[in-house]
Amino acid sequence: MSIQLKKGVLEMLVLSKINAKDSYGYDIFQQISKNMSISESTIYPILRKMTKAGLTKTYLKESQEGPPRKYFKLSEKGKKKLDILLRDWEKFQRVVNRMIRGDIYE
Amino acid sequence: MSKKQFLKRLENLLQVLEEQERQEILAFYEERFYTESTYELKTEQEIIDSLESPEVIARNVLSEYGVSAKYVKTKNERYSKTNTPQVVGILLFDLFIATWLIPVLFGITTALLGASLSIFPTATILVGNPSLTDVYTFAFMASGYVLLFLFGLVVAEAFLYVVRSLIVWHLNVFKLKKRKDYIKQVHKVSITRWLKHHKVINTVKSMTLVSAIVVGIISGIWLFSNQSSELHQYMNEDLETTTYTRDVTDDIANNNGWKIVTDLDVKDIELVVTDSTEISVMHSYRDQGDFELEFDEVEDKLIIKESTDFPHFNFVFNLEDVFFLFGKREKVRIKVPEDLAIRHALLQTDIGEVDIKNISLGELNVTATNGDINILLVNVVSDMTVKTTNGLVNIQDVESFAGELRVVTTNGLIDIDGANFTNYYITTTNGNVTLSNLNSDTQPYGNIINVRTTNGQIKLNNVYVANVTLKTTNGNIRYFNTDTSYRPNSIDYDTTNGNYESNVN
Repeated sequence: MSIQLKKGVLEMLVLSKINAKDSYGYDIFQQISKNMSISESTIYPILRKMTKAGLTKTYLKESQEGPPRKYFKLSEKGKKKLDILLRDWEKFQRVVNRMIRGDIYE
Repeated sequence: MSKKQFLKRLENLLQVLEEQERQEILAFYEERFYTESTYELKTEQEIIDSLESPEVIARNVLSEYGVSAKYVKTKNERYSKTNTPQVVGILLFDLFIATWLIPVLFGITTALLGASLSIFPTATILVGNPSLTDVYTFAFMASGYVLLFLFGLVVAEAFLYVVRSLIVWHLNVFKLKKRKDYIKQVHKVSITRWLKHHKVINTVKSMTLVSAIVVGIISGIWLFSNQSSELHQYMNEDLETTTYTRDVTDDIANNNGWKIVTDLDVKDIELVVTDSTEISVMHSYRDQGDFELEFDEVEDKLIIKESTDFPHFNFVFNLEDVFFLFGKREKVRIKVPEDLAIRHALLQTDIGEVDIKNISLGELNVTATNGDINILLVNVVSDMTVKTTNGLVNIQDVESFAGELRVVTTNGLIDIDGANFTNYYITTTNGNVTLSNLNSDTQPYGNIINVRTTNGQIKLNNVYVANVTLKTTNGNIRYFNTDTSYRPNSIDYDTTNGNYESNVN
C-alpha cells in the first residue's frame, strides 16, 4: 500500500487503538501491523507528537514480571480529535469512492 | 552490534532532534529491549535483528518530525562525495607502490606460467629410443613443470586479487557512478570463480595436481635410488682437455703483434701470460662439439669459436643437459708469451666468467652476457671496454697511456679499484658502482668521468678526474678524496631518491 496513503491515516489509527484500550508503544505497533505493514519507527514519533499536542496522556503501569511500562490513554482533546478524524474519514472515503465509481460507470 | 552500540548509534543519528525528543525515542527502544529480553527471552542480537537498522529508524523518525532525511546519510550517499585525504592517499599509493607492485606481480605470474611451458622441449627426451632412465627423468621433470604451472595459477589468482582490490578501491575512492555494477563485473574476473563454474576442468585440475605429486615422488625416488651414483659421477667427472700451441718466437723477435678473438657460448675464459715462447690454448670440455680454433699466421690472429645453436639445450633434451647444471664448467685458458705484443684482445662468451690477469695489451674488449668479469693488473695502450648483462664487474689495477675505460652492465655491480685512464664511462641499471683510487697516485689526472646507474648507489673514493658526472635515480652518491686540495673543474651530480655527500668541490 502506498506509504503516502498510510501516513495520512496513521494518526487516526493510533488514536483509535488507544481509544479502544490503553496500551504501550510496542503493543500499538503490533496491533496496527497485524493488518498493515508499517515501520515501527514511524509509530514512536507519532505517539510523542500526540502527547506533546495533548491528545494523549501517559502513565506508568507496573507489569507482573518486568519493569513499568509507559501506557498511553486518550485525553478529552484526543477523543474530540479522533471524532473529527473519523468523521472526516467517512466523508473522505465516501467522496473518493463516489468519484472512483462515477468514473467507472460514467 | 550490541544493544549499547545500537542505542548509541541511534542517538548519534538523531542528533538534530531536541534532547528530550531524542531521549523519548530512545526510551521506546530501550523498553523494547527490556520487554523482549524479559518476556520473550530473546538475546540482544535477536532483538536487534528483528528491529530496523538505526539508520532506517532515524530516517523514519526524522521524517515524522519534518526533518529532511539528508541529515541521515544512506550508505550510498555516504560514498557519493570524494574525500580529499583518501584521494591523495590513493594517488601516492599509485605513484610509489602500484607502479612497481603490478609489473612485479605480472612478471612473476608470466615467468612461472612461461617457465612451465618448458615441459614441451623436455618431452623430446622421449624422442627416439628412450632408456628407462630417460622415461623416469621425463616423468620427474614433467611433474615438476605441472606443479610449477599450478603454482603459477595460484600466483596468477593472487595477482588478479590484487588488481581486483585495487580497481574496487579506486572506484570507491573516486565515487564513480554505477560503480556497484562495475564492481560486480570486476569480481567476476577470477580463476577460482571460473573453475567453480566449470566443474569438469576443476576436477581435471585437482586430479592433475594429485597425479603430479604422486608421479613426482615415485619417479624422484626411482631416480634417486638408481641414478644418484650416475649424477655423482658426473659431477666429479674430470673434463677432457685438449691443448693447442703455436710457437711465436719469430713474432716476438720481429715485434709482430697478435690479435685474439673468441666467440663462445658456454665457457669460461681465462687470459694470462706465460714465460714460454708459445701461445697455448687449453680447452677443457665435456664434448668437443663444434669448437674451432685457428692460428691465422697471415694476419697474426688467434680465433676461437664455438657455434652451437643457442640456447645450449638445443631443444633436444637429454640427461646430460640436466647434469650439465651440476657439472664442472667448460673453459678456455689462453696463455700468451710475456714478450709477445697483443694488439687487441676481443673476448666474448655468452655464459661464463672472464678472468684476465697480469697482462699488457693494445686494446681490450670483453663481453660476457651472463657471467662475471674480473680484470686484474692489466695495461692497455688505448681503450678498455667491458660489457656484461647479468654479472658483476671487478677491475683492479688497470692502466692506459691515453685511453678510455668503458664499463657497462645491466644487472650487476661495478667495482673498480686502482685505474689510470683519461676518460671513464661507467653505466649500470641495477647495481652499485664503487670506484676507488682513480688517477690517485700518478699524474696526469683524468679528464672525464661519467657514472650512471638507475637503482644503485655511487661511491667514489680518491677519484682525481677533472670533469665529474654522477647520476642515479634511486640511490645515494658519495664522493670523498683524501687529498682535498684537488678540485675538479666541474662536478655534476643528480639523484632523485637519495642524497649526495662529498668533501670534494
